[in-house]
Amino acid sequence: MRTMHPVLKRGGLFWDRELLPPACYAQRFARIKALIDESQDDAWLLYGDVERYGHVAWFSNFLPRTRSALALVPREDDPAILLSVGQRDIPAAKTLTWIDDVRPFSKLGTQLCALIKDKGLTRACFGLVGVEEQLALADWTDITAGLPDARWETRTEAVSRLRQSKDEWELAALRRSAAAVRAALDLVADIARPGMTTRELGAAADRVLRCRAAEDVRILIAGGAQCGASLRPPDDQVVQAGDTIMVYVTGEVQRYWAEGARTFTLGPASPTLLVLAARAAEALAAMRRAAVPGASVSDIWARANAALDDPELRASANAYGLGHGIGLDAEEAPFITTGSNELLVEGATLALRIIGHRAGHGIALGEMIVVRARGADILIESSGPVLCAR
Amino acid sequence: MYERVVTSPRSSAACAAAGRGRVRGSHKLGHGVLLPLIPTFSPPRRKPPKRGEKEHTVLALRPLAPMRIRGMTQAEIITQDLANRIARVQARMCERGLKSLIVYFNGQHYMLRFNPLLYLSDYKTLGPSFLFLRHEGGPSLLISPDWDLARAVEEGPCATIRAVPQEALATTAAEFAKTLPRPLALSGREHMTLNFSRQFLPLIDQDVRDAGDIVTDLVATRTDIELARVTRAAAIADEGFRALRDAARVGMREYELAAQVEHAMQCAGSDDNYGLLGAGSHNLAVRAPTDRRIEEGDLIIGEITPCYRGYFAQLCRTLVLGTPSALQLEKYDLLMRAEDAGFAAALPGRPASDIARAVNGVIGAAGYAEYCRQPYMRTRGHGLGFGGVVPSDVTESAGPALALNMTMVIHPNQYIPQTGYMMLGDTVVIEAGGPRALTTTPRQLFSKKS
Repeated sequence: MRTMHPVLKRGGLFWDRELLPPACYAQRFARIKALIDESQDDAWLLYGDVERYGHVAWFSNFLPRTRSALALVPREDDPAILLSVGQRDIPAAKTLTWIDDVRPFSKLGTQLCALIKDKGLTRACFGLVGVEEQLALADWTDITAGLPDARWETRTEAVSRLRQSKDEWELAALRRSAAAVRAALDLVADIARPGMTTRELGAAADRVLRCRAAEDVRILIAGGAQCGASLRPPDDQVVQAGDTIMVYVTGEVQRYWAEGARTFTLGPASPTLLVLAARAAEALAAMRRAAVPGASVSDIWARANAALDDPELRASANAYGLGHGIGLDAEEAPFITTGSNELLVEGATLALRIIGHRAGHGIALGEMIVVRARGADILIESSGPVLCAR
Repeated sequence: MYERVVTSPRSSAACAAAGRGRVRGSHKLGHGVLLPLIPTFSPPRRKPPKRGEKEHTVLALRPLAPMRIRGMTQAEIITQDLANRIARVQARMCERGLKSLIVYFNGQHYMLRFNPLLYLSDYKTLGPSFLFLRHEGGPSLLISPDWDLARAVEEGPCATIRAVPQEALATTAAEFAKTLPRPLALSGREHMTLNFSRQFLPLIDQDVRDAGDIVTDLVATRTDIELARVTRAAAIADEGFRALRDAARVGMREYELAAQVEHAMQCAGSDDNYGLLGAGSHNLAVRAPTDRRIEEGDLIIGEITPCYRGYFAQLCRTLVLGTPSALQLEKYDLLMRAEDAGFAAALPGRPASDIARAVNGVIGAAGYAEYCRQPYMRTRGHGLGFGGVVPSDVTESAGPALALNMTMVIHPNQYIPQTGYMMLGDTVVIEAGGPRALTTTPRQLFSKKS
């Protein structure tokens, strides 16, 4: 779900080698090499920016805190990575990746062309992963002008498929992120009280995540009458006794994202809110039940919409989106939407949510699951509406 | 397509539903922000902690008096300021013979990249969005995602705001562009992704001119409202460093300390932060916080850059956890003298490069000339306030001349072989008599008994 993009990922930045050991990246390197061999391309370019860095981080472990990173993976040579950092930042950057050849760039096109010339690949065929989706037009113009004899093939989907099923290392990382998000949501129930602003609530939740080494935190919230309109970044809205508070939290720890959403009340929930909550919970449960390996995402979408059973709630819930894959990107394939022909795979991790508004009220329920043949493993459970302690 | 259109005046149900009016303190009023003029900054009040609440105390800047000018209301002042910014751009369009301007912003906010859409609308987008401006009249916004419409209506006093899902953005923008009078120019083409450009550009006239510079050239200096926002951001930066001093302790992880700084600034109204924080007995440069535990005798260096309503201010300071050595005090005094020299050179009409020469002159004279260059040092400051605007990077080869009401940071941060990297820097506004610091944290090497 769209959140406010920060100017910098400013939380703890380090590589926890116990959680994600070099062996994990050796395995990923081998899998990428196999895909390159299969494609017969000479090299692949894996690109990621600060907003969507999954492909490049999956391969390299490097996280662009601002701007971007690009990994060059030749079929017959060692990989190299270009980072949008200064020369003096390279020693720190090297602690975040297993790749030896780490180079800074200020102009990506110029530096990439130089690197490709170094590698003798100016007439090569390159597979593009994340490049067309994320790279700025100006950079692409520079690259194609500097490499007139190169050929380009789109390969994003192959890597996206590879990344959908999470291995045990990834699941361990996702559990850690999920625990941090859960803790932040639990805190809201503990501290919310009349007279607080949503900014204060958001700041408190943000601190919980950052104290658990979150690299990035995104919070959307609505308090009181805002619940009838939309979620938004925390602001000066004051919550009062009897108000509803909708909270959406997503956070990234060791590159892996988790998300959750809950609805809180500062007093007994109104009958209208309870009806909304029941519909949302049923829709969420319908998605969870249907989320098994081989299930079609469009079928999951249809089941949720049937359960919502209200045009206004259904329209707003679909505007926010009913869910998607989650991992190294806050939003990644598969997307729970109509018309998709994607099928779920064993080990995929999904963020599912019903966030919607009806007749001046709002509901936010979300959960995070691992797709299993035996039924979903729940990483973040939904609950609500939650009556706040005070 | 899920699409909604709202036309001002913003008395719509969406605004009412958004609960406007029930806001605390001085931040928000009417359709914008109640901006305090901040001639002085008072330390924040602490709310008394309740039992079991220690970890979650909330800080808040003291509510400040609203800006009052010529009997206008706060909302009128904000609206007028925005109208003046729009008029400046329209005047530039007329100079270039343009009847219409399309502004695209991709939703990726970046401290050193100017955001023309925010400048012309006071609305900070969540996702990729467009703004359309004719040579006369108010702008129109086309935003994504569609569910953010209520906030856009509250914050952006545009005549027309349309919200669509991101998938529909390119086609809807192209349809809107067809209704605009010609000649037409486009700003932000370079920030489109390759795929978005393949979707959007073929749908608009091929004779659309590029106008990437049309707004950026005008924004070197701050209007009254903009300066008030930078000033507020500077006050929040001071609050952030106060929180750093309060919270720093031996055994804490760097990211935990950064979290406390972040929390204090968010409570004070910060909506973003370009924050770097590191600690060590001999730092090489400032960096992101890691999982390292802070030790006795560490120098904690912080670059704190909060954002208030899209406007940034930066504060750089150094804290010794323990008793600073005579050598550390001596070398920090060198940084303070270098900042003094930089301030003395920051006069309207003089090139920004004079600041870098003045700072480097002091540090070079002390025997550290080779450490005034890459890879140790890059710049002695930069334009700041609303993106990395003119005078951009302050280096000895910087070209732009300083002008009245420019806001910038001057930071003689320096690596010194005997002490490691130390930081000192302040956000200033250029006035007739020289720079006026907007950050008010004392200039000294701070220390705290561990």
